[in-house]
Amino acid sequence: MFYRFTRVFILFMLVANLSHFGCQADETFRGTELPELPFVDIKLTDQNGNGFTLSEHKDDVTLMFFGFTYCPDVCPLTLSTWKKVASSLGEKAENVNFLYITVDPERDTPEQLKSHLANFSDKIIGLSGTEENLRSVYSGFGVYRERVEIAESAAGYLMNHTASMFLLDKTGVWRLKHSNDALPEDIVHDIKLLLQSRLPDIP
Amino acid sequence: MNSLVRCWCGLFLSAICLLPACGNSSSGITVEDVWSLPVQIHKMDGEMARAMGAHEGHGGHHGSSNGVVYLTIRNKGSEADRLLSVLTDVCEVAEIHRTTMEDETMMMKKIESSLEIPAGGTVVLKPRDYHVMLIELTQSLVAGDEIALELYFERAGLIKVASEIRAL
Repeated sequence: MFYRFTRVFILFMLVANLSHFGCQADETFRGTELPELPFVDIKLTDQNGNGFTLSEHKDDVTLMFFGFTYCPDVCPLTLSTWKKVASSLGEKAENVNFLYITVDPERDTPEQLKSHLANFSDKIIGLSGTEENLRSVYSGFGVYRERVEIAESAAGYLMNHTASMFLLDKTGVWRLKHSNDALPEDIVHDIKLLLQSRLPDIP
Repeated sequence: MNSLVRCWCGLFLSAICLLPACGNSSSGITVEDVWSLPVQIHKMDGEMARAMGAHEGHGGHHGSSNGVVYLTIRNKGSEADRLLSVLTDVCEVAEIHRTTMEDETMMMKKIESSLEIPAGGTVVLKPRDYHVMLIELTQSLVAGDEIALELYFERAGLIKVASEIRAL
């Protein structure tokens, strides 16, 4: 009888431990965590011609990507991933800023961003702005951007650029990076963790 | 009489075997898994943009949209072949481009002359790699529809394929 009790007890402890570890593993971010960074504000214009200031949206988690609408491959693939992220988040998507910031302001007017983003999700905010305002955002987030003239191509020029997806926490601080081919479920997982997290008072 | 019928049947079957099937050619080149992302173009695209003279000197109209085609080319032949060009009615120009990722940076370039398909080899045009860039779409690419493409190879000649528009 005693042995039987011991065996049941050991089994119980084992299961309890396993589920504890399982829970812990699930609270680990799947993207690459970044060292503590200062808050960088974003002041640009959205696809409806309205101003967008990140510091006014500080209770939301932000998913951010730098791209251009003329791009046929990586940028629309990223937006297809975001479409899945937004639908998988359901109501929680209301607390997420999906920011698509152009690296090609010459071609990406608010009207162009509006028609392009309509292919994916109405949750996505397409941002453009003056070269000066955009430059301060690029440098704030270490974004590389280079215009490349393509000889004898109808495309004219294309943009080489940083293609990672960035996640900012509810205070607007950049916390995580996901590679461009990240799975939607991994991004959703990290967004949910950032939404849950208790943060110190926002200054 | 019987042998004459057999002879004609044999000739007929041989002729059928020589006819290129869709996406295949007698040279050993086959094209499979052809697909594109959906793109909804808006009123400033295509003809209207041209009518308004909205052309930018750097290439690309303001308000134009681009598309993409991904596909797999197999060369079962004993000699290398080259994909020279792609033609389609859904855009102004189709070009073969390649995306490369270095660390976290995406870089894109046009394949200068042609894309080699080695003997016995397979070249896959796929997301974040080789792709056909459909420049300045003249019509929307609607999920579930198909678009017609003509692929011109150095040895295999013309191979016609249909690209399925797939929403991811």
